[in-house]
This record gives sequence, C-alpha cells and structure tokens, in this order.
Amino acid sequence: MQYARSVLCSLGFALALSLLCACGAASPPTSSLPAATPASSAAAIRVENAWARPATKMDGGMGESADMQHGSEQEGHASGMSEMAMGSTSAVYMRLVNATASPDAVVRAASEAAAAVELHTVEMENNVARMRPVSQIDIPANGMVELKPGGFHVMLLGIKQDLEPGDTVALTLTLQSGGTLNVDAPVQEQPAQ
Amino acid sequence: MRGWRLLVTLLLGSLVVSACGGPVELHGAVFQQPRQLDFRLTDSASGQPFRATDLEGKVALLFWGYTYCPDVCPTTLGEFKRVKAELGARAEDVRFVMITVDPERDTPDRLSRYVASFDPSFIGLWGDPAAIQQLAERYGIVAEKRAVADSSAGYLVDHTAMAFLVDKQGLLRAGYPLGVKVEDMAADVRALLAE
Repeated sequence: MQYARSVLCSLGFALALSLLCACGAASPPTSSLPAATPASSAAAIRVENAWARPATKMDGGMGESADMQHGSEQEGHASGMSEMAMGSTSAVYMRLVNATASPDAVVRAASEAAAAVELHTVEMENNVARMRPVSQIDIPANGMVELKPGGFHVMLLGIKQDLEPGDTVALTLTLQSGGTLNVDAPVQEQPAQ
Repeated sequence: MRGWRLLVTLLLGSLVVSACGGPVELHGAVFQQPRQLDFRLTDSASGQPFRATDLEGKVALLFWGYTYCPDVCPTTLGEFKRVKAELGARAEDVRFVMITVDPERDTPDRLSRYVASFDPSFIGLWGDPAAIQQLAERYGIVAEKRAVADSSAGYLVDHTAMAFLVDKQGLLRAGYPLGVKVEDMAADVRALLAE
C-alpha cells in the first residue's frame, strides 16, 4: 500500500510537472532577441517572432525584365504588373504587440526584396481560401495582432532573388500613428502548428 | 486523497482508451461514399500524360493550389513535406500531388519547379483551363479567378484549401482542412497503406 501510494505520488508529481511545462510553452518568449528596431517614434509597437517563407525566384518564362529593376516604381504600369504577376511570391509573418492605450495599425509595408509589397489576408469560408489585399492591419490598444499562415500576412510579389533559410528579409512597416518599424525577418521553414 | 487517486486513475484510463481507438478510423473528414478519382492531366515535370490510374497502388495526398499563392499553398505543401518526413521509408508508397487552379500562369515548367522546391518527389499536375475547370466542378472544388484592382497581383484565385486522401484503389477517402495536425494526416496515410 505504501508502495502504491508512492507510485501515485510520483505520477501526480509528473502530471503537475507536465502541466507546468505546458504553461511554460504557451507563454510568449521573454528572452528572444528583438526582431525589430524602432526607426522613429514607434517604440510602443513591438514586433515578435518575425519570419519569412522560403521561395524560389521564377520568371515564368518571360526572362529578366528591366521593369523588375525599378521595383515598386512600376506599380500600375502594365508590363511591370504582368512581370510581377509572373514572378514568385513569398510572405512575411510576425506578431505585433501594442503596449499603449491607443489603437494603431500597419498601413504600408515596403521592402527591397520584392518588386511590390502588399498587406493581405485570407478569408476562409467552407474550406475555400479567398486571399484579399487589405488597406491596413489593426493593432488593438493594449493588445496584439498575429500575422500568421491562413490569415494576415505581408505579401512579397516578384521576389528579386531566392529566399533561403539563413537569409533575412528587411521590411519597413509604416504605422497609422506615423512611425515606422524596421523588421528583419529571418527566412525559415514554417514552424509546426 | 481518495478523490485525487480517482482523478489519476481516470486520467490514465483516458490515455489508454485514446491510444487504442478503432482499427481504420481516420482523423480527416471521412467521405461516407468514397468517389473514384478519375482524371487525365499532364505531369508538369515530364510533360507526359498523367492519369488518376497512375496513382493506383499508392496512397496519395492531393490538393488544389497555384504557385502564385504565397500563404495557403506553401502551408499545405509544407504540411505534405512534414507528413513525408514523419512516414520515413513508408513514404515510398505515397504520392504527394498538387493540381493547379491557375493553369494560365502556372506553366508546366513553373509548376514543376515550384513543387520540387518543396520536395523533388512531389508531383505537379497541369491541364488546360477548360479541363481544370471541368475537373474541379466534377469534384465540387472551388477554383475561381478573381480580379483584384488594388493589387499588383492582377488576379488571385479563390480555391478550396483542403488536402484529400486517396487510397490505393484511387478512392477519395477523406479531406483535411488547412492547419490539420501533420501527425493525424500521417497516421491516416499509414492506416491506408496497411489496408
């Protein structure tokens, strides 16, 4: 009986320990390196766990076009658009934490890594994915917004070179409050769900 | 003390029960009346015809997507990659297939390079727009081009974002929503390999 009790006790201890571990894993990392540096007065918005998806540059058989060199200046230009439309895409994800009492929003994203950069979301309805550009991504006051697969993302259109694990995508996010955030997103495989 | 002991017993008991389960119970949304997969498309890597019957004898995971899609499609192909890793040597008898919903932009060359960037064994299937549309309609797959005015993308394609499990006889057995647990998909593939 004594033996049985001590077995039960150790089981209970193991259970408690695993519960503790589970809690630890769920809480946000506290010691990770900052993925963003405030470029101006946007220190109140914190960027965590930024990452970019690996992608292979493809020209869709149209070859390298001069339009690609001009990047986003070609927006709206017919041939530039078709080249971007034929290029390869990638996406950048992150968590944006707003430690202030005022709501904010990302209103623009820019990067040298791609011909065009847009804010997108995916609406899922009956297992049909409908990707849409959005004009802004809200960051609630004293809250956060998660850019993650199947939801909000920064879409890179017409990447200028292969994005491989180990590379970094530099992004500049413009906030509604006027500040900007520089984000260095490491290229990596999608973390397991 | 007694209540605490009961709790432990219950917890352990529930673990044992969930570990046993039924013999061929699948995790995905199971099709009660499995339909025979039937198509004739082009293997984007070889340019040769590829029929559904070319998959017979293998278990297949199949989904509909397009190379220009930066979010949902690479997520699914990334899941396929992890399922393959999870299966180890058993993956030899499994095929991972993507059918394009954007045959106009996805040239066979582009499609084959795209799927190969995830895994060289992955198969990209191409067909002319009419054939793809007809096939999608036959299996209740949504694949709609949508012009997006305020995007450099020109147009995007709304599409069914489910992965489908096909057994060795070419029957569509189950579907998985985006974000399904890789272990669940791998377990289902193993179950069908054992049939």
